[in-house]
Amino acid sequence: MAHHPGRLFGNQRRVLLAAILCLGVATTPVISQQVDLEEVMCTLCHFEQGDAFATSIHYKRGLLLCNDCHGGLPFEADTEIAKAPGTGFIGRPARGDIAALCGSCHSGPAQFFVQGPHREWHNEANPTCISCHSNHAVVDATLDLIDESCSKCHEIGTPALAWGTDLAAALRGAKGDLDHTATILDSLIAADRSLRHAMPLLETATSSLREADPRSHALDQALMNKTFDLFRQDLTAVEQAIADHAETRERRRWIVYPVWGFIVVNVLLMWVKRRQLK
Amino acid sequence: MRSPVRQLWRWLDDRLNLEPLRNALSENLRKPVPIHVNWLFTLGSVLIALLTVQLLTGLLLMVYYKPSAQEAYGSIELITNEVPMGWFVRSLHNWGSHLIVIIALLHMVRVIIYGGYKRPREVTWIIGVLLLAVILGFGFTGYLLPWDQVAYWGTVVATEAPASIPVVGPLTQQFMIGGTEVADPTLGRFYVVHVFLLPLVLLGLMGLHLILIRYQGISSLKRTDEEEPTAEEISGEGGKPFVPYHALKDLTSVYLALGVLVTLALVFQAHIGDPADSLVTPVGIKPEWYFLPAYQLLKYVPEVVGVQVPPLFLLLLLALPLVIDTSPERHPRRRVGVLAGSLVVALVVLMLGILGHLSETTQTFMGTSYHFDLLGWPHLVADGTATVEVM
Amino acid sequence: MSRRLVNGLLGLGAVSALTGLMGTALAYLWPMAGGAAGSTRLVGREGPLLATALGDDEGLVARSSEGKILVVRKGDELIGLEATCTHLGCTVAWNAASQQVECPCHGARYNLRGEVLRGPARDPLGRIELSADEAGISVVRRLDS
Repeated sequence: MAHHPGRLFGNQRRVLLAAILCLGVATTPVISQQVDLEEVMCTLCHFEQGDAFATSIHYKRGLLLCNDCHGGLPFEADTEIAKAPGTGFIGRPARGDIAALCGSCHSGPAQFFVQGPHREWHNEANPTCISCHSNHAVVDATLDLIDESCSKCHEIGTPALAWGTDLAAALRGAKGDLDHTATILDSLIAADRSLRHAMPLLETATSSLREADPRSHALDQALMNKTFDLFRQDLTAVEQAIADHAETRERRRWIVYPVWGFIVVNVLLMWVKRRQLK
Repeated sequence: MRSPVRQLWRWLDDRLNLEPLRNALSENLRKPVPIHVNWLFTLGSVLIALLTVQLLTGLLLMVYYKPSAQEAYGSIELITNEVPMGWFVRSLHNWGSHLIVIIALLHMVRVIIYGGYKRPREVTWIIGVLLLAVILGFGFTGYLLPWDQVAYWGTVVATEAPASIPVVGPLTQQFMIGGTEVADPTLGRFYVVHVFLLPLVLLGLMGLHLILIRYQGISSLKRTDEEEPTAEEISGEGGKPFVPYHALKDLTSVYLALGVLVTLALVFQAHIGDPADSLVTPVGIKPEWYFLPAYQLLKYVPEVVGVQVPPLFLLLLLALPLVIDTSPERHPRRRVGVLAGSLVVALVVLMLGILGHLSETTQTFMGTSYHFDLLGWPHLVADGTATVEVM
Repeated sequence: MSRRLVNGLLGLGAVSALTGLMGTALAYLWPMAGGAAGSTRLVGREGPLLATALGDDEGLVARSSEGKILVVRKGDELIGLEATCTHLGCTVAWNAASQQVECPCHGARYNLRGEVLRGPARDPLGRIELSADEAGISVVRRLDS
C-alpha cells in the first residue's frame, strides 16, 4: 500500500502540510500505484467526491489521497478517529489557503496566479485554482481549459474573455510551431547527422516555451509578450540553423556547374589539339 | 639565357647521364598504338587518376582521423563539420572508392574482350588480378574506419565467413579481427593495412603493371603465334603515337571521370550514421555493394563452401590466360566462346549482387509491394501488411 | 585556333586544376583554433581552476582565451601573468622560495609585475587582470599597453 503521511501540528498546519505533501508526492513516483478507492474510507460517505477523484490524474498516478489536502486518516473506518484533532484533519480548505495548498507542489503557476488579477481571494467573484482546474476531478491541464474556464465568469464580447481566448490561441500557435520545427529537425537529422548541433537550440526553445505555462496564470499581457518574444527568438535560432545548413548544401551543389564548364572547355580543347595533330 | 628548367636538366644530365634514358623513354612513349585502341582503352589511365585522388584525399584524412574505437567516430565528425573543406575531402574519398571498383571491373572487361591477357602479357594480367584484390582489400579495410553502426556491423558480417573454414577457420578469423569480436584491435590492424601496407603493395604492383605495358606495348589483334606488328606496320595502318595523341584521349577521360567524381561528392555528400554500438545490431546490415554477390551466395550454399568461392574466383581469373583460354586468337570475333562464358559469369555475379541488394527489403513496383526474403524470392505484400516467410 | 593558343590554354587548364586541388588541401590543412581557447575562464589540468586550488604564495599555470596564464596567490590577491617566456616560448613557473617567476629552459627570471630580472629574456611578461568567484577564475582583461 502506498503511504500517505498527513500528520499536522498546531497552527503551522499549512506549511507543514505543504512540506509533507511535497515530500509525499516526491517519493510516490517511486512507488506510484493507484490505491483501491474501496479501501479509502472517506469515500463511503463522500462518494460523489470519491467518484470525481477517481477520474483525476492525482489519483491515477498514485500521487495524492484525500488526506493530502484534507488531512485525517483515510483508511480509518471509524469517522471519530479518522477526523480526530491530532490527525490534522481540516475538512474543506479555506478559500484563502487554496493557492498555497496547490502551490505547495505547483509552485510556478501558484506564484504567478497570486500576482494576477484573480489574486483577491476575499472577492467571491474571483476564481481560485479549483474554479478552473476542479478540486477532485483534476485532469492534466490543456489549452482547452482556457477556452472552457474564462467563459464561466466573463461574458462573451468582454475584453477579459477576448484576452483569455487570445492567450489560448497564442499558446496553441507557439506549441504548434515548436512541434512543427521539431519534426522537421528530426527528419533532417535522420538524413544528415551534422544537423545535430541544432538540438541544444531546440531544447532551449522548448524550455523557453515551458516557461509560458506557469507564467500564463498571472494573466499579464506584458509578461506573456516578453515570454513569447524570448521563445520566438530561440525558435528562430533553430530555424536559422536549419536554413543555414540547407543553404550551405545548396551553395556546395552550385559549384558543380563551373566545374563542368571547366571540364567541357578542356575536353573541347583536347579534341581540337588531337585534330591539329593529324 | 637558357630557361631555368633547361639549366637544371643540363646540371642533372651532366652528372647522371640522363639523356639516353630520356631518349629511350621518349621513343617508347611515341610508339604508335594499334588502330583498334578505342576510348575503352583509356580506363586504365582513369584508374591511375582515381587512385591518385584516393591517395591524396586519404593522406589529408589521415591528418585528422584517429584510429581508435573511442575517437574514430568523433574525428570523422570533426573532419565533416569543422575542418575547412573536410566534408569535400571525405566525400571525394568515399565516392572515389566506389568509382574505382566500377572502373577497375570495366577495365578488366575491356582486357578480356580484346584478349589483352594472352601471351606474352600473362604477367601483366596476373599483376592486374592482384591489383583488383588490392582494390577490394582497400574497400574492405576502409569500410570499418568511420566506426559507425554500418561500418562496425558490416565488418562483423563480412568477417563472419572465414570462421567456417575447417581447422584453421576460427584462428584465421581471430587473427583478422585481432580478437574474438570486432573491437579496437580490429580497427588498429585494418587501419595499418589500409594506409600503409596496401598503398605500398599498390604502388609496387602498379609500377610493375605500367612498366610492363610500356615495355611490351598494347597488344594487337593478331594471333599470339604470329609476329607482333612492327611500329612501321602499325603506323602504316594509321596507328597514332601514344604521346601525344592517345595520351590526350586518356587525359580527356580523366577529366570526365574526375568531373563525375566531384559532382557525386558535391551533390551526394558522404554522411555518417549512428555511432557503432557493439550491443545493438541495426536492421538490414549488409556489406558494401561489391561484396554483395559473395554475401548472397553464402545464403544458398553451406558456409564452408561459400567462403572459398571469392578466392577461387580470383584464382579463376588468374587462370584465364594460363589454363582456361589458351587459344592463340586475340580478336573478339574469333573468341566468341570465351566471351560468351565470361558474359554468363558476369551475369551470374550481377544477378547475385542484385538479389543480395533486394533480399530482406520491400520494394514497390507499379503499385504493388513485394517483400524479398533472405534468399531473394519476392512475396506479395497484401494491403501493406508484410508477410515475412522465414525459410 | 593556333597550336600555341591551344597548348597555352590546355596548360592553363591543367595549372588551374592543380591550383584548385592544392587550394583545397591548403584550406583543409590550415591550422584551426583549438583547445580551451574560447572561454575567459581559466582551465587547469582537471577542469576550471578554482581560487581555492591555490594556497598563499602558490602559483599554477592554466589555459584561457588569452593563452596560458600563470596565476599566483599573494594573500587575498590573485596575480595573473602570461606564462609564456618571452625568450623562446617555454612555460614559466612561480618559485615561492626565490619569490621569482622562473623559466626552466634557459634561466630567465621575472618578478610578479612581469619585469625581467635576469635574461636571456628581454621583454616583460604581459600582466593579466583576474577575477574570481565560486565557479572559478576568469580573465578580466590584459593590463599594460
